[in-house]
Amino acid sequence: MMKAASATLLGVFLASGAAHADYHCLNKDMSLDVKENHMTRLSNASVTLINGEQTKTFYGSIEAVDDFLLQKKVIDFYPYQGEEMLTLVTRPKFCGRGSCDDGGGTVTNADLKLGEEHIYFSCEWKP
Amino acid sequence: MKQALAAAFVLIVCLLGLLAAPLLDDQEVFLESRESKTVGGGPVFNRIKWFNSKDKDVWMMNQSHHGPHAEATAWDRLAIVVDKTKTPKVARFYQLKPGPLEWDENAIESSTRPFRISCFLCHNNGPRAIRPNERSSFGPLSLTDRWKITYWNLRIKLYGRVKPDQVHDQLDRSAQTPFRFHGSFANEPLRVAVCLTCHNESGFLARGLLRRQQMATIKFMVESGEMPPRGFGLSGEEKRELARFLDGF
Repeated sequence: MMKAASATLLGVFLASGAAHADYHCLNKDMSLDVKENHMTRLSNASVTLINGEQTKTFYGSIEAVDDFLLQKKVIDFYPYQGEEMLTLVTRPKFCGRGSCDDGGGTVTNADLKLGEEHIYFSCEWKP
Repeated sequence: MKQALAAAFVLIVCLLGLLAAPLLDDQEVFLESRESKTVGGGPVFNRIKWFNSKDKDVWMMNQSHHGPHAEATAWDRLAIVVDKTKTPKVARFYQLKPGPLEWDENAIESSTRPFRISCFLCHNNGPRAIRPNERSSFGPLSLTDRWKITYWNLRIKLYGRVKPDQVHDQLDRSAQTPFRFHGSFANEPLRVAVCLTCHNESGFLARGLLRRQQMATIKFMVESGEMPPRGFGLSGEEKRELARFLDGF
């Protein structure tokens, strides 16, 4: 009973953690803000690109692959034709004998695909 | 004249003996690793020993993340057993209870412990070349040890393709820390043309395809100038391709 309750609580904790997970990404010219829980009628995530004075927001749906070591999230932007999307990849910061662990932290990178163009960012996860 | 020839002969035999002695198996080398670092970026120390038999090579290692004088129980004990009867050769990896570098076939089952880290993250092709930190202030290498490591590295290189023992796939099903990660993303191969010259599955130089889960090792090898090896180079486009792969794309 205690185990079931703990598992449920953990599940709720993880689900709420995931729901509020945001990323702030930067490269030398632009920044990106990713909100994973931004629900609209057609999407469950929003990505705001800020380039100087210009701001553009994309809406999309998230597909996540979690290999325990590496995590990949793809946000395909509406109207979902694969032309415009954001890919976020999270990996351990350090890896090697005894040092590929949670204590070492993680690194997240992002690839924003807009048609033929790819724009790369380094991201910070903001729980 | 005869005496001089005899003396020269004895001298040559002695010299050859001196050169060959370090190459016999069952000898230990102590070194600071150039590649492995502790979580805090500190030095990692290894004691390595090689045991040779007709059918297999056993590479054993004690490793300390707590300095060169850590107590015996703080040293990990690891082994890679290369089955030389198979083509390509097959390697089985072990994490063992802390202890001395002694190989006892009968005690392996009882000494085996769960992996502390997934071996495949660094070991794509069985044992890897031993890379001591030449500038270590803790454990400078003697000439004999350098000679021994050169010979061991040549031996490892001459294995050619070494595949992981399939038993690891079975054990991974119930392992908390698997030998390797089995997801499709973690196993996406590196397809940079110059890397594929050796890092592919067949051919004389084959070392096995590199996978995305090995990105940290690939990064170290490229950034430290170990890869690509002499005679090979990355074109501008290949550099970009590799950088994207290492970022996860």
